[in-house]
Amino acid sequence: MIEKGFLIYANNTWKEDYLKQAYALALSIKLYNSDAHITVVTNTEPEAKYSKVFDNVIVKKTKPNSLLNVEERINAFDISPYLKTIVMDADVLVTENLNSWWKYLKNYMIYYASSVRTYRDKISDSTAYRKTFVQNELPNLYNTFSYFEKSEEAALFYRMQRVVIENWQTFYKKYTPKKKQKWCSMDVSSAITSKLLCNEEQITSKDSFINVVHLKPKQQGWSFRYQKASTAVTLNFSDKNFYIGNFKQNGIIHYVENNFLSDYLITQLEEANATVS
Amino acid sequence: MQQYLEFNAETGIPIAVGPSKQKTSIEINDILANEIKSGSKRLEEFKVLYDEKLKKYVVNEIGIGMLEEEINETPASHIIYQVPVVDQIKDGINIVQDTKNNKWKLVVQGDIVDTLNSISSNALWQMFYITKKDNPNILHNQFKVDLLQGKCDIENIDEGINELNISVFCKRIYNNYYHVKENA
Repeated sequence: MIEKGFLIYANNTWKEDYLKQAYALALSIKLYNSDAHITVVTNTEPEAKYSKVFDNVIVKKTKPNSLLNVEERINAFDISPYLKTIVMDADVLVTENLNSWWKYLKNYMIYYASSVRTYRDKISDSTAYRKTFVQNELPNLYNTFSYFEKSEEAALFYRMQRVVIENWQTFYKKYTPKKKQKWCSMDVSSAITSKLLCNEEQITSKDSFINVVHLKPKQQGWSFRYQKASTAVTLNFSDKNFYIGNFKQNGIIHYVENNFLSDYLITQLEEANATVS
Repeated sequence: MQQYLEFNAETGIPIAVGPSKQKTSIEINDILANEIKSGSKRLEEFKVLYDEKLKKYVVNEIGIGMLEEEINETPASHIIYQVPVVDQIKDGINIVQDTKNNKWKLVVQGDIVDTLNSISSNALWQMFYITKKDNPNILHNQFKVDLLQGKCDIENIDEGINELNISVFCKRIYNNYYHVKENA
């Protein structure tokens, strides 16, 4: 078994090309972490160009009416070929070497990011997108970045998470009575799982340096109510650094909106990777 | 096989999906076609709207976000638009940089010429910005061009700036802008 690696889920839908996003993410990982091992799980056979950057491609056809990513992501623990796995959403970019992250994660068997930053590197205290969590006192977990080590503790957690997801309507009714989401969400399901197992302190740390730049507009502290963050700022890549607006980025960026991922940005990442190797 | 979504042109309500192109229909991808045919998505869940920015009809899923409002928003990347670099003049608005002699000029050609000629004005100025390569935050210089008269109020950029390590940004008013690097 390979010691550590990255797992990305990329199930294309009729309007979102998640595989393209996963490709950009993989390019950004390899740019700063040349020895990284990356597995993508997808419902679409990737084109040759994409396959080069992934070390392992698992094609799994999704069923009609499936919960798409959610349905597939419950298999992450079983499907991962790594002893230690970082799982990230496809619409993420890595902006630095993650060796210190791996070192920190050795302290945990399971880890979830639980705080987010603005693109100006300030911790965001907005609860605009987290009402379900606040009102129902759920752990504020983000599946955008999670980690697990193959262990009994993690196996128990993911078995429980599977039960929650497979019966999400029942669990949501019981554990999120004050503000219930109408769809099955990985974040809410993971939070309910953690609450059931009373393990929030063992799987996250709010004050950790491991957090995510979350580009949803209401997280940014803007006084103007933008519907989309991409109408307010641009994402640029210059001299192997990412910039949002005029702020240099660090850590990982959850860009959410497809407008940020231009074809030119992907070309730049391809060229930067070519010069690295 | 290419699939088409036929829709009511007045209401935008979808009528049918199939391989034959109808008078009011748009191309859709295989994933969406298969989802509708298999019954996992229903036609009533979609609406076809005209996108003013893209100048074409697009399929929207009802209830997923505020679609009409979103469509009308201009991405910041259109206001801070990085002009793509090419090595020869193309149809559109070309900002030509002679890197060897550090000279700049404007060349407008193709269909855009007719569009510009239809404007009843003596001048149509547009601003362009010379920045560090790929980074709109580090401004080296700015200049304006008269798209009607073909005038460009910059001849060279400041000394001390590497002519090859720059980008050109502008507001994307027309479809095709090019930063032509000659003698690069």
